[in-house]
Amino acid sequence: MVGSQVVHETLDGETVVINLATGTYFSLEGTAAQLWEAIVADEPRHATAVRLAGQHHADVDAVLATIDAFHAVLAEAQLITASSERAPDTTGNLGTLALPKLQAYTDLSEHLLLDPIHDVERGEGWPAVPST
Amino acid sequence: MQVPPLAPAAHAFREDLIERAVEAAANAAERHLLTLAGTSLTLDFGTTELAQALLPALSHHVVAGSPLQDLKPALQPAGVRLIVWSDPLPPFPWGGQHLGRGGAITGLSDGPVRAVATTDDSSLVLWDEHRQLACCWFAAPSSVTRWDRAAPLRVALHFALTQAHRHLVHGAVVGQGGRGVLLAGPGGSGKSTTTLACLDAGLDVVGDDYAVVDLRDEAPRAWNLYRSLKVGERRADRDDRRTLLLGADRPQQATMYLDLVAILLPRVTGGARSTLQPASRAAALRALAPSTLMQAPYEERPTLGALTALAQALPAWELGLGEDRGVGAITEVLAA
Repeated sequence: MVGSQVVHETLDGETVVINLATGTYFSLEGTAAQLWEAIVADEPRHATAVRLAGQHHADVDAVLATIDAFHAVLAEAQLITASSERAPDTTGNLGTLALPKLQAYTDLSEHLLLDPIHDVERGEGWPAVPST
Repeated sequence: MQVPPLAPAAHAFREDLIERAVEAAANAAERHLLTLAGTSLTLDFGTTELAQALLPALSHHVVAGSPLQDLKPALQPAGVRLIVWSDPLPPFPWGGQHLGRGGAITGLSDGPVRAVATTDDSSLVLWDEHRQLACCWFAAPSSVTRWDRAAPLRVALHFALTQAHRHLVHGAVVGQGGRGVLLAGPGGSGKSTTTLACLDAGLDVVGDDYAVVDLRDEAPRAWNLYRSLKVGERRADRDDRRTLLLGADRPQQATMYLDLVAILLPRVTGGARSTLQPASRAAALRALAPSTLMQAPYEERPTLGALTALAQALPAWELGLGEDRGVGAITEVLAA
């Protein structure tokens, strides 16, 4: 399930995901974008694994393990609120399925999390970092 | 972390604040009618000191004939009303643990009324959508920060403009001949420097940090919000940051609106000449959305809708900023 302060949009095959709680934003392409769309569509993990295994001539168990590993990464980034407890093991035949990658951008986090309301120096303003 | 619930009296306190604001407006020291991004606003200041601190960056929107304090209430224009005052208030019935991102008060930012406060109790904003009323309280005129002076009443204006289908976007807008480009990127990407270079080169400037985007027409239109420009920078050995006002510190006036033709993603490259490379719409969204949304007031269900529509409506270019500060490349995009 996507977090309540997570916003996302897919444009021309690239999914942009922003975690407003952490200030980190992400780019997902290829397999990662496909898996994100499956999460948003609330497709069961196993159904996603079967579908992708068919498309990529891969073993369902290997794809399922790949999905679980990716969900764990998304959960760690606080993008989704639930993740499989299954230990991810991505060995096995993935056929033509590329491993999903999550491109994270943290360049804004420091300034973005300097809250323009709270984190202002009196007389200075945001984004001046408080000295104490 | 579980936030303890607010005392039941907090909602009554919120209503009391609105009544106090309306009462303060009845005795306002200054009242001004503004037309901002095509929207009419009435702006009441409880004291002259508050007006002197907060009005300069917005004064170019004041309609000729203001101040309106001589008008009877029945003759005053309808529309959104902002009240800015600093009378003493009772202790707030919330604590720091109730303040979420952007200072949104958990439990008081529901429904048509939104509440945003500072942890040091130096200021707060209440927006009442039904009454079309923003109540902006400062503990004292000295509570107004340099940031407040450069971008005054931003939270209240965000609420007021959003309900009028206009969207406050973090980015600079420059152009000429009625056509403009939106420069989107994080602080330090070169927006303000490029804006100043464009101003010096005779181009029009809508804003160097914020613009109000209206997506209802065929071409997205970027409206001016503030006439302030940030210049200078803070480094380890010096801090020469200051705010300039167009039409006061610089002879050029702010341009009220430009129709957008492109989104540019600036990045300092250091070459002699600035360069342009096509960028994807997703890249434009990545440049626009994070800082815009993170500076917007907390929403229970935030969306990318308007920013996605903007990224879809316009071509995007990566602008490699060289020593010419992008003026030639921007002129090229505007002429295309």
